[in-house]
Amino acid sequence: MGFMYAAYSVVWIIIFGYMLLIGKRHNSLKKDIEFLKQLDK
Amino acid sequence: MSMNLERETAILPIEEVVQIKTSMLTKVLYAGMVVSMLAAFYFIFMYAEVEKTMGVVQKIFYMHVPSAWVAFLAFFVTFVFSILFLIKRKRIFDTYAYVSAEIGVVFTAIVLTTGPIWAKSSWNTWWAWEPRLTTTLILFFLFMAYLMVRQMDGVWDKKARLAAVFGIIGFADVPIVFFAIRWWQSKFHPIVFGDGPSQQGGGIAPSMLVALLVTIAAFTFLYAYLLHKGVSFENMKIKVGHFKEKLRERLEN
Repeated sequence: MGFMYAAYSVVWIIIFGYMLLIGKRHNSLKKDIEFLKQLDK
Repeated sequence: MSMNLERETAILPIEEVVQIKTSMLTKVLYAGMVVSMLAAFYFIFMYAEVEKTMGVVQKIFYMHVPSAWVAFLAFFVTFVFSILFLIKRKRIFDTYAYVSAEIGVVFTAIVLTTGPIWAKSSWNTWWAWEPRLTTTLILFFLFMAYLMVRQMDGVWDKKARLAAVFGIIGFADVPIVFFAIRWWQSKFHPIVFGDGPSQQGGGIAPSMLVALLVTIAAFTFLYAYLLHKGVSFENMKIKVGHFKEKLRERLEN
């Protein structure tokens, strides 16, 4: 039973970790765009 | 004429260059992924019967096999778009190949972590240097190297060409991983479908097959969602890069 929980946890930690990474990249790009907007004014 | 020239040299506002709206396709893929994932969990834990020898640990199979399927699919997409890039030299093909390879590496990492956990409980060892495990590890390292090529300094076109060649050669390992247990004798890895030289395919109960197919569909939705999201992000990054270049030129003059 413990092995199954461990495997399922690992799967979702990796998937959510990757999604979190994508989210972080998006946020940093959004900040970049906001900065460019200010610079462009 | 002068109007056109003015428009060509002018920098469009950043809002026009980059649109940070969530597209309809993203929403559809996200909804499809959530619904199919919930259905997959229902089929895994409520519908599929518990395997007699391994017991509940066998349910790792429903995460392990779909992850391997997505990894293979992702590397196949990288292979196709790498060929397309080398023929047509369009940046969008390179973007698809890159994002798909990254997703492939993530899912290969899942295969390489769930596999040993399952192996410890059923083979009593975390790792065995048998054909499938070894070729999967090689596949992981090949595409890790592909991602490292992408991080190199230099002109994108050169990097993209090198990565495309890497992506095509790297994909050659995918059929080897799949057929490894069928071509070479394997004491550990069981064949489920079809027969091999050292063993016959064990087959699968109908309820387990249904659960497996639903999970594969859910993971494919997840892959499509991640690919779409990744490609739109990369496109946005490229546009912001171009905008920065233009803005720098204008500020310098």
